[in-house]
Amino acid sequence: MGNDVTGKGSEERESIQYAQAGGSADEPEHRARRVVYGLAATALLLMALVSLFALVTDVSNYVAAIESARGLRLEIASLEVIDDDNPRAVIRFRVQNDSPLEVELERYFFDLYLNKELIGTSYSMYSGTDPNVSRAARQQAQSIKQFLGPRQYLMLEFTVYIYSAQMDIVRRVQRSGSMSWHVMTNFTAYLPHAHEADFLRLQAWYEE
Amino acid sequence: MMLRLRQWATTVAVAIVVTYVGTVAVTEVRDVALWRADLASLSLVALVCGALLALVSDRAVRSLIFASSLAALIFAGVWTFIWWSFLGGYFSLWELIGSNLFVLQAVPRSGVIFLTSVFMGLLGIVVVTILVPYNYRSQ
Repeated sequence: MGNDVTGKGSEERESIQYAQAGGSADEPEHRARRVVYGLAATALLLMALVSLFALVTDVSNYVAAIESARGLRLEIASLEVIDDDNPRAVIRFRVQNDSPLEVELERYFFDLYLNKELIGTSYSMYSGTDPNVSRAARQQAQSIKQFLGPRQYLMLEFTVYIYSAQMDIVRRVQRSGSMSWHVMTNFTAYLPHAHEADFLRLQAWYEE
Repeated sequence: MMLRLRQWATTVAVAIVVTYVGTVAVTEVRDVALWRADLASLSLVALVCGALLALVSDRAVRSLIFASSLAALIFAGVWTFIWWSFLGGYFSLWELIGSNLFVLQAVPRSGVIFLTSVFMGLLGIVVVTILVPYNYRSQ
């Protein structure tokens, strides 16, 4: 590098310097150096162009994925407690995709709270009344595998079996009159452009 | 003038390459990236960039350190842009830059990108200096 005081081009100046050092500009070594320089510079330029393209694409993909996660809304459409020999709660969810991109929901599970006390934990979409149904069948039922397009919604129904100690809490709160249900869900979802499933935590409240 | 321009162009090119691979390697962007990368990829790319710099630049070490600093700055800028797109309505730009989010996430990761690229880039320069005869390198 340096000031080009002669007004000549740098390559020409390099040739002159090389010639002054005892070599000729047309010598194989000089030509080889120019080839090496050209190849290395071209490689760097190509890598930079590809990287720039990929950086812009990846950042916009990432922003889109976050936007789609932020666009998912959960509501409890209805919640019914059935107090019989197998006490359980039947909950209907509405999952709304407010983002402009499609999201793939794979599976979900949730915790159900009543007035901040844990009442039950889901591990099944199985809606029958037999709590002895096989675990494999419940896990299969847990998988929803749904594509949720922009502005679309999905209705899901879940049955939570309530143990007797928790059912006592439900009965006590029912007598007091003020019931505030809270559901904390974990969805396994594929966000737009993502290669791996993400955990999305969504929650909803339901007042009776 | 032309030579100075080439020097700048190669430095910026290295900075962009390191920024891309670094961003994918050390952040959650890897989940949505076109090509996955980790620290081994960043090290390899920095090694190659160092080697190429040694071939095209007569001040490769200086260019490498400058390119790595530039990469760390671009990386911090990219994350500021990402957070700004979500939190711009809640915080001012200066609040965002002074927040834990930036100080505890963007700054250390910038440091990882800078140190990895400088170390492995220098290794690339040393390898080329040893293996490629002086007459075949930019002087």
